[in-house]
Order: sequence, then structure tokens, then C-alpha cells
Amino acid sequence: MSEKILEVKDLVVEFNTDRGPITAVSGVSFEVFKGRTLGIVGESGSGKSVSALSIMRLIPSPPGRIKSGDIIFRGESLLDIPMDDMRRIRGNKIAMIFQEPMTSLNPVFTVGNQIIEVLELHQKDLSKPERVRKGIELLKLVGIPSPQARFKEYPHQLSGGMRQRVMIAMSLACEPDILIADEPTTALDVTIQAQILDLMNKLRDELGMGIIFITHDLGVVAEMCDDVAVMYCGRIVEKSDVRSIFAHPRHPYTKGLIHSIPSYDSTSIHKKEKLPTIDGMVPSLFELPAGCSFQDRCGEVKDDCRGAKGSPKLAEVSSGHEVSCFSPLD
Amino acid sequence: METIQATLPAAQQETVQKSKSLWQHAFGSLIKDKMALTALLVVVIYAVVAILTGLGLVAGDWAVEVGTSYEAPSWSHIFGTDIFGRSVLAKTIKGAEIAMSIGLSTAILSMIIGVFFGAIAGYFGGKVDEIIVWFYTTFSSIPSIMLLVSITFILGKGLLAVYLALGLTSWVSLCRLIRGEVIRHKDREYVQAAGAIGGGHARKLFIHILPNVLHIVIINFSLQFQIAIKSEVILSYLGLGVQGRPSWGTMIDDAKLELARGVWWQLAAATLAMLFIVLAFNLLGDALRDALDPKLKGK
Repeated sequence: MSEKILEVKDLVVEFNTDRGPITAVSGVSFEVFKGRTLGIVGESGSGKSVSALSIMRLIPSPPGRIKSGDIIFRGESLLDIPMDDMRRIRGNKIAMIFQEPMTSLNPVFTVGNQIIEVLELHQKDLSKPERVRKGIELLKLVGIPSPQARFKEYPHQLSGGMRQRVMIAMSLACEPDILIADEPTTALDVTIQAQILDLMNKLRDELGMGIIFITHDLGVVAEMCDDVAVMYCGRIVEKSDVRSIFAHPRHPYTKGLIHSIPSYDSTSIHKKEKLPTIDGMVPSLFELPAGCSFQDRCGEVKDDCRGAKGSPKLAEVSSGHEVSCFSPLD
Repeated sequence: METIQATLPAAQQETVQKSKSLWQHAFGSLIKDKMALTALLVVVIYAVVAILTGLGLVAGDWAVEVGTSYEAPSWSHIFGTDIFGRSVLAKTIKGAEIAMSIGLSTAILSMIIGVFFGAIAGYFGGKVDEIIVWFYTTFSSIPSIMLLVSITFILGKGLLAVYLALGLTSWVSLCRLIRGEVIRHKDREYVQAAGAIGGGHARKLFIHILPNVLHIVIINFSLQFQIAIKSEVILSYLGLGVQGRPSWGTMIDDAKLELARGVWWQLAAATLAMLFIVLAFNLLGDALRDALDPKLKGK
């Protein structure tokens, strides 16, 4: 296996709310390897974005805070270093792209200006013309036609797909070791989505970075990721390489998710079947049941799940395949 | 490097229009508006007159006696003469220097204070916000005339005291507006993205958020300018204004005794001079708001 760049260990993140503290992420652990993509999948509110923002230490604080756990980047804990050092890492060693390309660029500056800004912050030895040249090169790298002209344009003049390419160009400016992509294609239509995913795959192979890919789209995961972590209510419920998770899901929740992907074969279209769903609702983080968080929606629920033994721990069931369930599926 | 190139025909790529910034767009729509253009022209004329009188090139001889006391307006003295036989027209022109300098310095001073405190309060929130909001709420609950009078009493008479008094009392409304706008912007994704590329608080606030709220500052600047000109009149009327040189305020102050004797021209000249600049700034402020506020675009 390739070099491990980032390790998140037992991360716990709490938010103070008017109704008392809630634990958005409780005890999440994962690793990111050079040249591989880790997919983090889960519903809204399952803690995927909060985990990602914690790595950058960008959790809005207050109300949020990292309560315990550790984030180790190339042998160094990111939670211990001073804010100034963290700022040097952001955008430089660890870069991030956001969900909404429409709003994540500053409307009053040209896109060129914003790419140059990253270089200004992290590569101070470059001269102005060198920065401009590098900025145009980056736009070319992410496949923007006539980069010279686009460089001088404002965000409102670009389409969503183009803007997301600009965001990717910005994030790649300093050749980061890790790229965190927080639902980068959710706001784009499918054809553009495919282009952006291809681009990210290609750039990962060329630049050898590790990618953390946050999404709720399992189809995208199958296309993009090498490893997958499935999150539910702030916990990782299943973690494995992408093949074995799709071929052989061991957690009832993962199985339910995979089943609810609509299939497009001709028979199902004519039969007008109902889409399989997971019954019930995600429990509120204020009222998590004792024991397994998934108990009320699980078809396989046993007495053990109802609290007596606490919440299930992530444990290896076969080589490289971890599940947190008292009675994993076969 | 080979990448996924979108296949735009070369000809189409060539015709990509030159991009315009927000300011270029705003300027474009401003000069299309005849009323705004006229207002801008009036402001420029006043500013030029003020600079020329400041340099002593125009109305430098305002203190010279040109006729007898209280001569009525005639072709040789369009606005007549004052008690000492000085030309009221020259005094009015000289007054533009004071008016414009007071408008400018007050607008700048209140802009600096208002933007700074508003931005900090909005951006940091929490205790900082509470303290600043408490301060300006308390501050603005003091009647402004009383505040103006007490500040000029502390600072003594003179031009500098007027600058400071007006500047220090007129920043609250801008501060409120900026605070609100900054709160609206600070959680936007582009600000988060600026953090994600390694920008600190200062960069996020002053480089990313501030240009996005600058239109408010500009509109406010134009309105603050004319409010200051009017306030100078009030201060002078109360005997706290500029001393020893003609200002529209002191002219109107003089006129309160003259009117009883039928001498109306000093009042008329100063009021007319003020009317045009105040009207021009108001119209300009409106036009700037139309041009700069994206929510009013294409109304």
C-alpha cells in the first residue's frame, strides 16, 4: 500500500446549541493515502462535512469545537500546531473545494486575481509576472478554453462547471498533498459532473495527491474512490475498499443505501416499481437512542442493539473491511 | 499538458468580450443617467471653485471694500454688499472652500470610524459586537446638536474643531449598515474559501468582504458630505462655527439681524449656493445607489 499522508484518530466534534451540546462527529477514524481517493458517504447531517472542516481546523468556533481525538498529517498533529502554522498548511499542503461553485468565488475579483492570491499567500518568492503565468497555466491544466481571456473575467461570466474548474485550479495552485472535495459536483448537472470527476481523477494520478471525496451519491463513489467510509449519525458504520463494499456490504445501512440506487435496466422501467427505501427517519442528534443509532430503521435489529452493550465499535470482519454492527450481514 | 478541453471553435474563443468590473458597470450606468451626470458636474464645479479659492486664485479679494454698506444687488455687485461694503458674491464663493472642506473631511472621518467599527463588530460578533453596538446605541441616543456643541466647546473654536465635531458625531448610521452587511457576508462560501486557502482574519475581512460592501460606503459618503455642509450652518448659527473667514453658515447667521432691515441678499446668496450643492449630492447619492446596488438593477 502507498504512503499514508493523513490519519484521523477518534475524532470527536461537538457543537453548542441553544438546546445543549450535540456531538456531530463521534469517534471517527480514517486514513488518506498518497494517490488514492477516500470517499466519505452519508446523508445530510451525518458529519461528513464537519469531519472534513476539522482537518482544516475551519470548524466555526464557537459554537463548534474539536473535543478529542487527533489529526496527524505527515507525522505531525494538526491540532497542536499554532494557528499561523495551520494557515501555512491551508491551501498549500491541504486544499479544499466547496460544494457551491456559484458562491465560493468572490464576486468582485477576477478569477485570475483569486488564483494569484493563493500563490501570494504561499509562494512569496514568485514575482508578479511569474504568478500570472502560473495562474494561466493552472487554468489550462483544469481544461478551461482560452485561459488568457478567462483569467481576466469575473465569476459571474463563467458557468457553474467553469467556476468549479477555477476552484480546482485554485486548490491545485500549490500542489497540495491532500485535496478535500466537499460535494464538488452536487450543484452541477450530470454531464459537467462527469467532466469534473474525470478531471479530478486525472489530476490525482498526475500529481499523486490524496483526495478526500465527500458525497452522498454512491454512483459517484463507485466511479471515483478507492476506499469508502460510510457515515451515519456522526459515526463511521462501514469502511472498506470500494469493490468489496459494493459487492458485499456488511452493514444493514450500507446495504440499504446500495439497494436504493435506482436501476435503469429496461424491465424495471416498464414495471414501474417503487424505489426501495430505508424505512424511518434519521434520528435527531439531540435524541440519539442508546446503543446503535440505526436500530429503529434496521431490519436485522436484535436485543443487543438496543443499548445494553453501548454503541457498536468499528471492527474488522474480513481483511481491510471494517463494520460497526453487532450482527454484521454475511 | 493534455487535459479535457471543451471544444469551442477558435473563432468563438477570439470574440470573448473584455470583462468589465463592477465599478466599470456602475460608471457606465451612471453616465447614462442625465440627472446624475448634471449632479456630478455641479459637484465637480464646486470642488474646482473650492480648490481655486483655497489656492487664492479666485475670490482672494473677498475682504476688500468694493462699495458702501448694504448696497442692494446691481449689475456691478450681483449679490450686493455686506455691512462692511464687501462683495457678497466673493464671500459666497470663498464660502465654498469651507463648505467643501468640511464636507470632505467629515465624510472621510465618519467613513473611517464607521467602516472600521462596523466591520469589526459584524465580523467578530460576540463580545466585540456587543460592546460596539452598545457604544453606538448609547452614542446615538444623545441629541446630536448637544453632542456637537459639547465637542466644539471641548475642542475650542476653529475649523479643526468643526471637522472633528462633525466627523465624530456622524459615523453611527454607516457603522450600522456596514455591520449588517458584514454579518450577511461573513458566512458566505467565498469567505470560507478564503480561509481554506490560508487567509487570516484581516485578509478575509479587509480584502474579501470589504470590497463587497464598498457600494454602501460610497453612497453614504455622498450623503454624508451634504449633511456635513448643512450641519456647519447650524454650528455657525449657534456661534460655534468658523471664525474670521466667510462661510455660508456665518453669512446666514449675519442675515438674521439684516433681514429686519430688508437686507435679504446675503441670506439669498448663501442659501442658493447651498441649495445647489446639497441637491446635487442628494441626486448623486440616489444615482449611485441605483448604479451600485445590485438589488435595484433592472428595476
